[in-house]
Amino acid sequence: MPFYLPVGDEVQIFRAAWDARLPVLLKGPTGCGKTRFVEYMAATLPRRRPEASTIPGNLVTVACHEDLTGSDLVGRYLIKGEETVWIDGPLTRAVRHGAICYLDEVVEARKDTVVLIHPLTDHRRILPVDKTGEILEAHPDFLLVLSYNPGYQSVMKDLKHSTRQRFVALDFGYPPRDQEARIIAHEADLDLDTALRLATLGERVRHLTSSGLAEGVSTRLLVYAGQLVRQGVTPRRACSVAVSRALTDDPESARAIDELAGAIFG
Amino acid sequence: MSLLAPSSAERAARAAALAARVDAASPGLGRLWRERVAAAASAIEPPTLEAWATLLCTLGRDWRGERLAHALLADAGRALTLFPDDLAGCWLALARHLHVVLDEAQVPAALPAAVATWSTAERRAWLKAALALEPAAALVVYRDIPARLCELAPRDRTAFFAAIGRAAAAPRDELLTVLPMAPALLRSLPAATRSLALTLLAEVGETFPSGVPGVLRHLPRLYDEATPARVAEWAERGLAIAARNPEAGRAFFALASRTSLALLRASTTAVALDEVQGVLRRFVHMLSGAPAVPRPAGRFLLRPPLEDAPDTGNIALPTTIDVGDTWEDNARFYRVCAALLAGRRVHGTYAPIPALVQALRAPGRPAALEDCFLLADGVRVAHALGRQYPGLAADLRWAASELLRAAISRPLSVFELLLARALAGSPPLAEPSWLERTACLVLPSLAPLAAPEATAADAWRVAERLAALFPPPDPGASVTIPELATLLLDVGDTGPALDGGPSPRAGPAPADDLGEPLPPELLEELELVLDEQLAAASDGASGFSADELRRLLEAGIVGRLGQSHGPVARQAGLFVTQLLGKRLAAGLALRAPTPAVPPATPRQAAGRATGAVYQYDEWDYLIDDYRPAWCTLREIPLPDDSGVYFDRALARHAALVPEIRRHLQRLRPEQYRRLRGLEAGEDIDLGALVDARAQRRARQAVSPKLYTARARQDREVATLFLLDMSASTDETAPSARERIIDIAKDALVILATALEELGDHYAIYGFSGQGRDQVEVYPVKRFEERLGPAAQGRLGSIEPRGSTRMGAALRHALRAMQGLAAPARYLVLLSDGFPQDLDYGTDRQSHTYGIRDTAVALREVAAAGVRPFCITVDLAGHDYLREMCDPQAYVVIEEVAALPQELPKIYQRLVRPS
Repeated sequence: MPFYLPVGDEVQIFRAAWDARLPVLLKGPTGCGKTRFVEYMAATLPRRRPEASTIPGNLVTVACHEDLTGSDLVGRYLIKGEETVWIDGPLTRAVRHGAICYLDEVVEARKDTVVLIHPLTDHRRILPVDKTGEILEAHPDFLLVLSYNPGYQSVMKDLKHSTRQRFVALDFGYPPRDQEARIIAHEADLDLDTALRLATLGERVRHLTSSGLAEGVSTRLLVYAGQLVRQGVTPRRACSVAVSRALTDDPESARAIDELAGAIFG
Repeated sequence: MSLLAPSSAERAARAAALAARVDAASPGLGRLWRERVAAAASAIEPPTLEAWATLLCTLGRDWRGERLAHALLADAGRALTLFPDDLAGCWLALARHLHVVLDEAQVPAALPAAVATWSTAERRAWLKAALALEPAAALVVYRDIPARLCELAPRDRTAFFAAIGRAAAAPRDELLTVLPMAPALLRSLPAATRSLALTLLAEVGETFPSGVPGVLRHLPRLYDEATPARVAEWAERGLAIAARNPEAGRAFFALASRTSLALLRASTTAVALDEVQGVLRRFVHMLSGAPAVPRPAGRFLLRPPLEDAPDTGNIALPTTIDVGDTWEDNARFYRVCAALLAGRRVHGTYAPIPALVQALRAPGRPAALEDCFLLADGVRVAHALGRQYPGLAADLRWAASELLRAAISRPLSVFELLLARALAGSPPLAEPSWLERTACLVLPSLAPLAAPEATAADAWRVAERLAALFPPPDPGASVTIPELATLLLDVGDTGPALDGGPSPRAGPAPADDLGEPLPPELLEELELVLDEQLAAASDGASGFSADELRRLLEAGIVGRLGQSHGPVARQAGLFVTQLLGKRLAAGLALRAPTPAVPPATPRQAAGRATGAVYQYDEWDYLIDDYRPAWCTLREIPLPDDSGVYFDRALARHAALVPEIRRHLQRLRPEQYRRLRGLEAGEDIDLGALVDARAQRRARQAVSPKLYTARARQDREVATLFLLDMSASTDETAPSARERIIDIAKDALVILATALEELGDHYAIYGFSGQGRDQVEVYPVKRFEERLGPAAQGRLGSIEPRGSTRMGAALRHALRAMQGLAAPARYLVLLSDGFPQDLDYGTDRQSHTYGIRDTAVALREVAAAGVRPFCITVDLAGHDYLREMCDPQAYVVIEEVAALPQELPKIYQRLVRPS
């Protein structure tokens, strides 16, 4: 069972959306727990049909990028030996077998690709597969989940309104310090005191987002730092490689974060 | 001639002859001579009398001289004593020299009493210096300065006047400004350094008198930031620069050029604020959660100065730190200082008392209140930080220990040392005994401030109690260690360690150290002492002496002395100096720090929201160098007009917008190209597949490149539009009905709308300001933003403001473009005139300074890989633009109203790929 510590009512909302078969849109900065949340929900939601899913974890994840095409999602013909065979794409597999299809960082994908999902996200819940002439009806346990980072929005990387307005949206942020410390302690197998210091570091560094730092340090990076500490790396060095150097190339910002780590860890 | 001393008869005869001479020149003077001088003639050397008589006869020839002579004779005794022989002539010459600023009759009365203790050589140097200067400066030297030089050694006084005398050719205003401060500036230097500084001053005065005011003003800073040897090298380089360029030399010695600062700081271990302020600014921001703006302020102190205006986000950091043995140690001191400043913000130093600094310095407050508050609150904040940040706790202990160690050879104020003592945790091995005892007396009052619940208001109360024990120091005293009028009760320990650990001496910390009774055994001892004292006083004896009291202390008969209440306390008022002061005076030469220049109060437009603050250098063509951190620039948020203007502009130009779109679409590449012959792709390439089948049948090698895909082509262009929002844009454009600013806004509305579709990255900023300390940039749309409602609203609310300091605005625009990934970057400056501001150069009639600075800024932009382009609607723009940039890098729009049509075309030509 994936570990996930709820921060608000996101579990209840997702469950309600699942029950109503409403697609969900997760919005939040990188490394704040969106993917882990989806994994957790995929693992805990009960299946409506008794047969077991053939998809591990009941979850199909697609990392979206700007070269992602409709064929990458739906499927394509491939040449195998003398034959030309159809291979289902990840979206088709999820629709066919009733899994959660999670499109991560969906704004990275081209808009003409993303519109493919529209028939799945309204009352029709169908996926037209043009190349096979198929109209797939979604499995009752199919759910479409998208995620993206609103901070990266720009003119060219944005969700069309015709897409946005098909989803229930949940806002994710970095957890409060005490909760983040518990997450770090669990994920990195670390004592709570060190985890709390790492969470303090994260809380302080996030103040710099209004002063030149593009994004605050993610919970993920703090977990990495914790894992390094667990492996015997000194906390200051772990914070240097896992936080300041990963977060920024600006030498002054990196050094300031190093100084802060020194203040916290000694 | 007889070698024997003249007899009294001979003296009397000479005196009578002199009186007759004076009488012959002026009966009035003769009468005064007989009244005031003749009677004392026997005590005055004959040559002096002779000289005076001759001078008075000369003075009596005109009415002005006669007035002076009368005034002089009114105080003849003093004058004749002070100015024998040739000095008399010097003094009278000075009196005449001062007549434009001081009535001759006032000259004798203005004679400072301090010179009475000086030697003849000192008085001679003093008079010569005053005579060399112009009258206003001469008056300052004659009348005001001598009293302030009492603390200096005679040879230093003589050297000072010799140096000042050489500065006659220095700019009058600068000299008049710095002369009154000169004694304080010299006093702030250690005695050993003072003579070196005076030698330096004399050398500069000898070769480059214009540099003297600058050197004098910055003497404390020079010797704070560098060793004497380095300062001497710095001066030598400065004189060489001054020989080539006097203006550059003046800036050099005033520490107002980049070269000057760089040369001064060329040290292997000293850390300058410039090197670390970016890091420290972020560090304070992270600790406190609010942006911080470092400002240079004196030297390192464990008790940094309070901010006059804490809401501005300013933090006072030392200009340079050279306390530690290594660069890393000095950087660590900076971190400590920054942490304490952040701690003040987080732990509410300024919260309970509005206008804290003013409250501390209000009339009627004890002189030591501010020092005591800095001490008390310093303890509170340090402990609060130490609890939260173990690393900082270690840094604070280290810094405190280092300061205590350095105090042996480096003078520090007693408050500074007390704070170090409180934070160090344990007394140093080689602690001076006076510090040990003072700490024993003071630290217990500070102990409660280490508690987590202690507030700034608690620190204020402790400071008031401490300050009451520190009477104002004697201004004329060289040692300003305060005398404690009464002693504090010590009934507990000195407080916990910084990180919350056990205190060096265990014991309950008092909740309030006032009102606690003395321990019984102590009370008994004190009563015994008091009985003896009172008994001695009632017998008419003077009471036991300080030495006797000290012996009692040292013998342990009275362990500590405590403050009691009521009449007993008043009667038992004990001066610590009687116990400690003599040791203090005989010990280190300690003094309270005397800042040479009061801390700068940042200017802030009243009622304006301010964002981040930046400082930029400025090019001064006169000194052929940059003026470091010369301009202070703020980003000012613009209000939102809810898109009203934007929508109307689009409606006004409804016919133009589609045309512009079409033009710019020509810049847009084909968005997707089909690529064939790929080993992986989204579709099968049927042609390649057929070929592959044929190759297989023919038993040939089959290519795996059987797929096709579509490749996206992106434009990678980023452009920043910098709009001049000066007051002149409020004018109506020629042959148009609109204001220049509105035409420019329309042009940006149209262009921005088209660029949104094109997909180019762009940003829009406005700029204006008022003076170099108030340059303002207004972000309209940043690169990472869309042209959404907020940006549209800001664009619509652009209005004319102040001046046009282009250089700083260009440098800030360049900063905004750093980190952009686009390979093609452009900076388009939209203006209606030449660069000008109220202090853009010393000559307000000339625009050369602004033009040259803007030209250099444009070159900086180009050197950074950004192509600058200037667009002006000023028909005279050719005159100065050709000086600022290449002919291909600017355009003059002759018809202002055509700007909305022209701007997109200019942009299209600018960014079109070649």
